[in-house]
Amino acid sequence: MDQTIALTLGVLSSAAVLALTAVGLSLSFGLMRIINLAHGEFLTIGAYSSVVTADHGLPWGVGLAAAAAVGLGAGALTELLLIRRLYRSPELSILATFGLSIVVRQLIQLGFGKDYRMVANPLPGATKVLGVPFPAYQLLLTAFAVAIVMAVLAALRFTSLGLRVRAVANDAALSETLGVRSARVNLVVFAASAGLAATAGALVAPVTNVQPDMGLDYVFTTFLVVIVAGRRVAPLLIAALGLAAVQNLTTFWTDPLLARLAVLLLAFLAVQVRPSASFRVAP
Amino acid sequence: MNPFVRQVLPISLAAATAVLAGSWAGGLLAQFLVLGTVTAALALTWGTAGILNLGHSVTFGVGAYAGAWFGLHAGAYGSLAGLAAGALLGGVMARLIAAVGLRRRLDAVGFALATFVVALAAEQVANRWTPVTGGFNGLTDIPRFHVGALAFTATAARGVTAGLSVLVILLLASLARRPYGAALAAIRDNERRMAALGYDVGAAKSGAFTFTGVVAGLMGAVYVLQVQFVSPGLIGLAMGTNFVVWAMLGSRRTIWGPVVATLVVNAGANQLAGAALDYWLLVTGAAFIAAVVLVPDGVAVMVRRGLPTRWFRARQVVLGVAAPSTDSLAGGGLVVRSVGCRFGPFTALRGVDLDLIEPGVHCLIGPNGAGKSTLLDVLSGFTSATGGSWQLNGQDVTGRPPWELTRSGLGRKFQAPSVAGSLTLAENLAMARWGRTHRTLALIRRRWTAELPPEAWFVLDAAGFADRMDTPAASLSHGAQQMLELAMTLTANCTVLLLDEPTAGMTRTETQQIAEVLRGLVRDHGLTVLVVEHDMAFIRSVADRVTVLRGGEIMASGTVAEIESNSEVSAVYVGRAAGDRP
Repeated sequence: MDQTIALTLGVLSSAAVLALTAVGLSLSFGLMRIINLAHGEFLTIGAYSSVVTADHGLPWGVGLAAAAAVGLGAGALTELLLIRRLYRSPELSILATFGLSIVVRQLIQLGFGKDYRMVANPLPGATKVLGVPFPAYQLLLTAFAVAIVMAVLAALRFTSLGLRVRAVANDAALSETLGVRSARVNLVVFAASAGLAATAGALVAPVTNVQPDMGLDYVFTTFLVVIVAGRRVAPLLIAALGLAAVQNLTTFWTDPLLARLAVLLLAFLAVQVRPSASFRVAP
Repeated sequence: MNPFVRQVLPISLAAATAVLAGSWAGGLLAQFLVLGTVTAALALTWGTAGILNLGHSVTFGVGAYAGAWFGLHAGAYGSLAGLAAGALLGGVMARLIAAVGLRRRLDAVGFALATFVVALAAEQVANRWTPVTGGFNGLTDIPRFHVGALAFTATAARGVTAGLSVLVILLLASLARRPYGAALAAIRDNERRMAALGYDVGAAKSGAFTFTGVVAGLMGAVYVLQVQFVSPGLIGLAMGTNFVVWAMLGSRRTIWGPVVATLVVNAGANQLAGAALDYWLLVTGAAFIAAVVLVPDGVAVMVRRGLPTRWFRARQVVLGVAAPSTDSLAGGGLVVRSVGCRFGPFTALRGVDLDLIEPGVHCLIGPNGAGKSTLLDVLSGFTSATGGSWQLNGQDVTGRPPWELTRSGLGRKFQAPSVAGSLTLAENLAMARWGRTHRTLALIRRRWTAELPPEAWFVLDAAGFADRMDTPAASLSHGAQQMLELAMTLTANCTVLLLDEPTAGMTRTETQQIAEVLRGLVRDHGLTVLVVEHDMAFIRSVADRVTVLRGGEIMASGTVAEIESNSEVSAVYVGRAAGDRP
């Protein structure tokens, strides 16, 4: 029983982080048909931002804020300089962001070295959940991630910016004729997507090894989530939960490598049974 | 030059250079040529067939590990076993990826993402499955190529490797030039059109993907026999990136461009070492981004644009006149029974019955949103029906895929002109001629000659295409593309023809020509034609029968006169007496 609770909490925690990274990716895909293969590198940038603030003795909260800000800025810059030129072709966007991910990884490696960096755990120790001890920071992380994802979904649903985002996602040209500046909406969404990834990076930094390739580890499952769910919200959350569950449980019972393969298998089964509307070949 | 010499010369030249250049430079040349071969294989799937594969390294790496493992463990015949296993495993791997992602499951973008993820996973497997792959360190001291007691010297090995690579590249280039390659390019340009011409598009794409997987797997094993070392770096995303970058820089729609790019880039990277390599990756990444933005078609295409066009002769396609078809498929026509189609809560078609048995022109009219195009899409296999059945020439064909319907005698012209834009007019027509009868092997073997039926020539002459046969179809005007597509549809030798607004965007003269063509098809060839149209003048000039569709249901059916005098129809359809329409 105790083990079940601990495992469930672990799955929820992984799923929350996964949803946080996937929601941004799926938003920028839904909006601009841009596949951002450098999404994982924004997460890495966020993690290193919190490393830098921690090195300067600043508290964890500042690191989180700094990561979000750096992510937003880097995302906005990328959109302005690169993504903007590639709206016409999803294929070119895949290639260009592919190149970008190499550049970012190499820059980080040149700046910080290949070695693992650590961020001190701001909330060491364990809290009891239903009588079961669970790392306190992991709980905080989960709560943060869930709150941010919920806030993003609420913003999409209830704010006027959210309305414009949904309008552009449905039909960019038509929205333009209705007075929506789709270029600006794209900029905001891409920056926000990068900011969310960077925030996720800062959130996981205290419980993982920060290194230049860390983005790739996260991007693996994130892309699977988006492949399975496309740009729909509910399936996105379900897919994040399902893949996180398979990954955590297989890791627990066997080893991380088999977990990877199990996740891959599950994702491909999901595609066979029900290809997501965004990627399905038009009939 | 004698074609045989043209093939043998580059092969022996490459082999001789690798041998004479000494062990260091010659060895590198052989090694890079193998990589060039693999990049050329990627160019065939990505550039020609339009399938972006970020995990090309997976098939290459699987072949490399197979070559290494058998080389180390299988004794005297280890090299041969390794080569065979490399090709086989590369093919199996590609086949699996294609089965999951291609074949009408994921679109190009979704598939590219899937290959990205597979490459990430493959590298982790290679890193951690130590008993077989040697883990992070890989496998070393793999013996050179040997059969029994016969073992290659280092000199012979690099000569053979270089020669073999050029042979494979020549093979790939030849495939790309043949009708097979053109068919892949046409599928890349316009998948729907090719399906409607009788090509099994899904099978063609996964076939090409699997074939290049076999090539990459084989060359992976060859690579390992050459360098005698394998590591996870060969199978992972970084290697996959490399292949994509080289193919892109060298122009992915050519075969030799990517090969040259591979050689040049690798020679450059090889001059650097250690810390400089980090900067090299940085520069590669940045250069790649710049290339995507500035020269998305690659250097070879850019250079070619700068050279005089007369240096590059267009492909000679010989188009002849086929004897008037005495095809006895005819008989039965199209019989539709209570076909329904729903999209979620919306019912597009409900209980539609149609009898197109006699030769003649049958017009389908109705207000916008009545379900006319949906009906054509359902009957030609592009949209799934949610009920009902239909028979073509006496055969139940309910729910068959488009290409099978075409092979049973159904022709389909789309509303928006759809042709293969990068192919010339003549190539488009040849593709149309071969769709119904040719399978992969026939497309690889056949020459560029095609005989078109007289009715197709009639359309081509009417459109005045005679002196434009060698221009790309994308350069034609909207109306001219309609004419070309009609000629292509007629070339496919159908017995029942479905036309969606054939006169849209056409001049009055062109419209009259179409009417004349349709009458001729019915009179001389006994064709049954179903036309969706809005133009009443056109309908009066061609229609034997008119059916009115409204809200997904058949509202009335009869001769033109009967429909025009039907007050209910004119009230619904035009809001006043239809005869008054200008």
